[in-house]
Amino acid sequence: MARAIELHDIGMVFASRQGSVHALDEVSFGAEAGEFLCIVGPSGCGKTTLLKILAGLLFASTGTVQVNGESVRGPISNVGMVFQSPVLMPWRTVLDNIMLQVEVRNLDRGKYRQVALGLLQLVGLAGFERKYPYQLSGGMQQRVSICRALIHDPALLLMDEPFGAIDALTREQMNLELQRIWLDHKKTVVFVTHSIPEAVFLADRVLVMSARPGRLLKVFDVELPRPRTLETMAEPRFSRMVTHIRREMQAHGGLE
Amino acid sequence: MSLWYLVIAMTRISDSILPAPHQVAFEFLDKYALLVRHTLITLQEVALGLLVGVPLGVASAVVLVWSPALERAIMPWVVFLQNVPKIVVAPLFVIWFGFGIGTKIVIVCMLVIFPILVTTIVGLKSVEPDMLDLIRTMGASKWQVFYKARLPGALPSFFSGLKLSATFAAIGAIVGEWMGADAGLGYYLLVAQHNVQTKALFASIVLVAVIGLLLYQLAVVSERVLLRWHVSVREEETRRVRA
Repeated sequence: MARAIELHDIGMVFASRQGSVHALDEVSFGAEAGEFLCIVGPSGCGKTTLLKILAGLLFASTGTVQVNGESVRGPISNVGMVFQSPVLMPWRTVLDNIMLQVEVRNLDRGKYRQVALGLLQLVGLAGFERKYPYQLSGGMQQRVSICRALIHDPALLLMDEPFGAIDALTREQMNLELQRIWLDHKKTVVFVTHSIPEAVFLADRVLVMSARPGRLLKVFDVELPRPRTLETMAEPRFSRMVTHIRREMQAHGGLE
Repeated sequence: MSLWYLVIAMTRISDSILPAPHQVAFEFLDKYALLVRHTLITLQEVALGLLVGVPLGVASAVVLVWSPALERAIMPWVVFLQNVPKIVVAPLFVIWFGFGIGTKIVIVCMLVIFPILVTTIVGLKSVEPDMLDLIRTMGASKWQVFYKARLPGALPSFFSGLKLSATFAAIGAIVGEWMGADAGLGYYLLVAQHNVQTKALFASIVLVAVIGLLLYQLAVVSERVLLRWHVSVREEETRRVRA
């Protein structure tokens, strides 16, 4: 069986008026179905670019991308995406924002309405379906965007620093929720983050990238048992792993 | 208002130069039927001009956003035309479209289209890039991107344009009537000026302002209904609730 995702020798050069920018260089990795990958790296190392290439929203200058054994030649659709900002439509209610996914895909609205309500329950937003985004906190809005990414039950979930703009307490909560959702649904997840502890907490494997041009420096297997809890973060092997990854990044000038 | 009376009392100015407010008010009562007739004609020209001009402006904006090449080719000409004062081309329209209502509608259209076009283009383009990426991963067609994301997102800008247009529209109708007409407030203004009927002039000015105000309020009300979610409307509502 083909791997869920497979990137081979990805290179990316952006041409701009100030000259060309070498964003990614020879990045290769893959993931099995149901695997949780975290990508950490310094700002501007091309993490977002990598995610967009994977989604088929950008075309790599060199290299090949496969999702479920098929070459990516345009936007892939068996995917859910979550960005750093919630990207909700301010004129739609919470429920209608989630249903956008269903409407655009021409799925059965009646059936998926129930799915949407179930997902809202799952992320602790039951009763908020008729609210508008502006009536919700940043953390709640981001949960709505996660529901929108999950409603069509995609095989692949791409998350680009989804909790980057959320306060530390809510962030821990969101990490727990995300882990729970993932344990329930067993999707392949590629999760980009700045936070090494977050990556170690969530991932099966942590991919460490270098500063521009982004290269894959090292891959760490995280063998902490699941479900991980807030106590997991207090364990010595957790902090050992975090320190280990931080040293790796420092060694390559990735952290100031 | 008191300042107005004060000036009249101090300068002992003739009421054929500056009539007092109550004299203007009496003018309304005296010439009620006549004023209403002329007002309705001007209002009709303004309304028809808006009814043609606003959809035309929106449609042009949609076409230009749809095709960037067309926008690059056409937009400079639109801006160039906008910089020709409409009043200068008005005589030309009289030759082309005659002294009837057609000329007035065309002039109103010309004044109305530009603000609508410019603001709607900005609105249609102001979708977040992340939203566009997101909706593309949903497999959206170009049409779906347009009416699910671009069109609703363009409404706040569009309404700014509509409010500007609503106030410009009356100017167009009056200018059109000045070029040649046998009815309407613009026509009535000219007649009043000719006969030095200052009270009638003031009455007409008030009525032109009322038309502009009416259309502006219409735009504001429809904005409030359609844009409940938008920050500008929300703030307004909160203030009104508190007050």
